[in-house]
Amino acid sequence: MIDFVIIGGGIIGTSMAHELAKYQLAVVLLEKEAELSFGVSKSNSGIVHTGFQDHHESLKGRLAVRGNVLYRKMAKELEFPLVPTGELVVAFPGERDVVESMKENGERLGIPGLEIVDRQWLRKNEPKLSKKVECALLGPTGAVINPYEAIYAMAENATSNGVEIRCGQEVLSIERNGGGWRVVTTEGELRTHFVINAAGLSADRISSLAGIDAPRITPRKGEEFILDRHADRLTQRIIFPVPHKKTKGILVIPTVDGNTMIGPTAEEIDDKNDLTTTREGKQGVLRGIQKVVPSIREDQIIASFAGLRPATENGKFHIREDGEGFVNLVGIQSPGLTAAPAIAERVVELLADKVTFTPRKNHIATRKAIPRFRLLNTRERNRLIREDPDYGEVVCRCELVTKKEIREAIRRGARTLDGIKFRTRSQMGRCHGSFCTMKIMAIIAEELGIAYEAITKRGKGSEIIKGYGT
Amino acid sequence: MESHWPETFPSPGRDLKVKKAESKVMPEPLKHYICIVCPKSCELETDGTEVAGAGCKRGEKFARQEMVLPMRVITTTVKFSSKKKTRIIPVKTASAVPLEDIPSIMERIKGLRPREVPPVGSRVKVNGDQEPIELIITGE
Amino acid sequence: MAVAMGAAEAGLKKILILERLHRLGGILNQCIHVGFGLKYFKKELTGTEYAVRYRNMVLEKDIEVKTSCFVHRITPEKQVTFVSPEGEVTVSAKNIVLATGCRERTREMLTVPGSRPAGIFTAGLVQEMINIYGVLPGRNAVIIGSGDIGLIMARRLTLEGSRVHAVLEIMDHLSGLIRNKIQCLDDFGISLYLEHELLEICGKDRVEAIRYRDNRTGEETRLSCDTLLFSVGLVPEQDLLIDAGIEAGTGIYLAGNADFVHDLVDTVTKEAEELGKSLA
Repeated sequence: MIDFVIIGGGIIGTSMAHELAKYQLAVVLLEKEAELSFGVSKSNSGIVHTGFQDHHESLKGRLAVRGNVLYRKMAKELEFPLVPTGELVVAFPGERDVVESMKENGERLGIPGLEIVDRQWLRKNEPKLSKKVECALLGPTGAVINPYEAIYAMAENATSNGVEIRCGQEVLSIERNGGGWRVVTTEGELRTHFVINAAGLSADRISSLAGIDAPRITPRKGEEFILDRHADRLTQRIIFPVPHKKTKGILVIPTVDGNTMIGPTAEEIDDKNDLTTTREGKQGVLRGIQKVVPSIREDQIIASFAGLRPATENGKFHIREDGEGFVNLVGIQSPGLTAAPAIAERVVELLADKVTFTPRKNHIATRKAIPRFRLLNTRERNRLIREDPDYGEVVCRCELVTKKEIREAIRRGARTLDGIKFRTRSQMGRCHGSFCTMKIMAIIAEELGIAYEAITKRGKGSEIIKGYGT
Repeated sequence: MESHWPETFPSPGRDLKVKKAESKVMPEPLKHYICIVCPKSCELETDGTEVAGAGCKRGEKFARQEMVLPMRVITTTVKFSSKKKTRIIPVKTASAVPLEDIPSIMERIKGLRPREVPPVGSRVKVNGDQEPIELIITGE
Repeated sequence: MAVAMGAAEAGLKKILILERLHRLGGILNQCIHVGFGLKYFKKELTGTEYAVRYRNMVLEKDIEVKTSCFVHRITPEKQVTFVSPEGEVTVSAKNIVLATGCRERTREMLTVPGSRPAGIFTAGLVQEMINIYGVLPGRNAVIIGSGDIGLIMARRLTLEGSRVHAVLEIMDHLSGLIRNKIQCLDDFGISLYLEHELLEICGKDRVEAIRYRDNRTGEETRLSCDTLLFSVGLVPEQDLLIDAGIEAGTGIYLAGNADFVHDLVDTVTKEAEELGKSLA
């Protein structure tokens, strides 16, 4: 009998796996898509919030602040990039008291370094902001990450500590069985003491499979647009407008990789599979953003994508043991990413009197990332090339990704073009894969011994070759 | 299975919409073609014998032939599989073939299962029930 | 290659060609169709034949060639840094010529609304897939944009057994050469729709359909397909200059498509040889 089955391999599920890996427990994580992070987390903006946007007495607020602290620690231990950009909530005339009360709220949450900055400061430090902005709340602890990089980092660390991660396995039924749970998937069945439901958009469905009520999920779509790296770095910090009721608004987000991203929109939809970007979305974002950064132009947009937030009606985090040994993590939307590691801690707290959390002997606290050739200097590069000449073969020319990095990504679990993309940044550059796609497919075919026709973009159904092959 | 080829290939003597050249000397019916022999893309007008608008003799020949039986050179690739490797090698037909025969000729070329890759420029015969076709190796 | 030839013929001694793939020839190596060399070699050749001929000419000269070498940085002081399985090296040059060709414009650059399924390619990528790797991306294709590469691939796909439903062009005129429209589209009954705009790409995991609009009438149509090729323009590959913050000037030159998009390789060859000669 397993101790924990975690359903869902996004940021919440892998944070859970990473946390549970610290203890002497048998843990299995199930992910229905071909790879981790392919669900909600893939399209996340990657912001590690300061946390002052949620009430100081709320669970969201406290967990976000704690999560912020944990991310900074984990980024070093697990070697994923975290850029401490800082956050600014900008106030137009008439909005000053909103940001002042946000500051006070943040101080009650224990967030350090908050201050209200004036026009002069803004002109000097964020010159691209609209001159109409009167003042802003500065939160120096705000940061950005690439969500999938954090996910792979935590997953690899969890695996090195004995957690078993199974992708491409969808849960079909969950039933109470012999003092625990019997989870049946497309690949077989597992018996476990505890189930942690971290299934994102499907969390309500998974809970009902187990016969347990949970808040209903109504997907809320967000479209984001990425600007050309050659367009000036527009802002140094993440820029927020004063928030609305349902959404934090349309933001300017300097990404880890140096692009600026604008968005997201917020649109309630019915279809949990609708990841389409729209003209209206783009126009809405441009209108919203030009109020704050007037110099942003439509022709600077080089890419776009959409994501779905697993929203629930009351908008709160639902973190509860709703059934005997069944923990529901439902409705984890903003600041869900930020709170994820703290949510994992909280689940451990919740179960403290039911589970013996014995620290794992010889627990490995760190994890080494795939060396990123692009970021190394000549000496380091030559050392790697001497070790393995595949470090000297450039596959992705836009992002300078080498054959060895691609092979290593496959070795660490990538099976799809998107999986390789998220682990190496290949296919994310200016040419969007038009140069490197076939070369990457050749490497996958060689590493896994499969035919080209079997290679997919992100799992079954998304095969690249639909004609004939070699 | 439904074929992806067009039901009828553009028939000999099809008319392309081009500006009508000044046709003082030629009687109807006239056919109009844009020459595809070279990038000049002359606009040709012909009654089958006389050709107007051609910048060179090849254009005249093209127009006359187009009226009788459009011919094209096929360029494609052939998979050479030896024990060790599979190589995709580009080839072209040694001479132009009737446009309407392209589907059957492609079938024959795709049926080839050759082994060793001949050098660039060498000729490969494609035999079969019909007339033999000759391919020229165009790459390595 | 042509710059090197021109320089070598004019007597220049120390010439180095750095090529990122495993052989010289660039994009010509995947251009298996005819239309090359009429002016330069006085023969109608395929792109591949042109490449083989020219390559052999280069290899006979005293020109140093390094393949599988990726140049990723140049400096205003004319230092060139490249990476190969032998290591990362920086060399100094008196003159640098970027003959880096073009990059294709992609669906993302056009921000076409819709989903992100598999089955969306640039025309050049499909050309590589079929002609170099021998794989066929799909059997029901639509080509967006009437650029030459798209027209050439319309014929190529048809020869290999795919149905090409149409070529959609947003402008009111053909983007590529008329001779390509005739021998690639008309010959095979493939329609070219001018003033037609791609509105949306549909499909969850793989392309299932597109929606497009006839901008003359406003009529919208949904068309089932499983493969989309984008042939919507080429962008000269000048990243090395842009990343270094420099412009072409004395000592650093652009040649061929890296300078601006050309129609004929013959023209590129002549211009590049002239440039090479001038540097000797």
